[in-house]
Amino acid sequence: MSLSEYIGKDHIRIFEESVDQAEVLHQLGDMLIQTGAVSIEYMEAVRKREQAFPTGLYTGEVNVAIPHADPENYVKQPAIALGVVRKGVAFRNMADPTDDISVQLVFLLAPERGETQLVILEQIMNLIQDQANMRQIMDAQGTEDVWNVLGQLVQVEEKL
Amino acid sequence: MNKKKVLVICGTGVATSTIVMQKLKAFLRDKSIEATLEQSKVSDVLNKAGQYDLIISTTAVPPSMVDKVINAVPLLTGIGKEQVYDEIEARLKM
Repeated sequence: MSLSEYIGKDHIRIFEESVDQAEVLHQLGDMLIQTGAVSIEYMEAVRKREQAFPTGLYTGEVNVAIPHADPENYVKQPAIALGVVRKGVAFRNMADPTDDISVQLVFLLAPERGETQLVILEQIMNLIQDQANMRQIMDAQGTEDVWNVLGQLVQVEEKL
Repeated sequence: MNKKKVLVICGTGVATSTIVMQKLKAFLRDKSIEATLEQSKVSDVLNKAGQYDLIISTTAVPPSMVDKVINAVPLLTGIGKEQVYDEIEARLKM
């Protein structure tokens, strides 16, 4: 399964206006709850975990956050929701929680346990290690376009 | 050389430590370094840090653990990962 299939067109949201972290998590979480991927408790766990162990990452011009929690029994169907935040939203730095990072791509992960999720996680890591990829996602207009770009990027990586 | 005990941790012990674990396995294989690898979450190891030779963490750790810990976030982002690999290699060959 590739990243774009995992995310799905229903799990992408573009935030054009200024927005705070709580609102981004709320809206991304709602998409996962709506499609039955996770229960409401999962999002509560994600918020708590983000407080204790933040997930913002400096990746260059376009920074990233990967909020997630222990799936426990809350993840029904492993999935990812992607938020494209045009004006950036503050997430604290994974490596240094005293530091705020303005991130533009938020991957809300609803993982499964163990190594089965590894392929997807590695696809995300490969994606975020290349700023050209991130700019392509930022340049996409509309959720369908974002989804198409994701599909193309991952295909290219698989060929390499 | 004694086989070193390495612990990979993150906040939940689910996502980022799994990625780091995978990268570390590949790196050690590549360098022919033998080590015992375990994966956990930070809250589970506060009292057990002494059992490991090296702890590789994607999350901030309490001051009591700092001496043993290498920050693995560069392995996720790719920025500065060579230095991290060099440090891991140096610490495991001590």
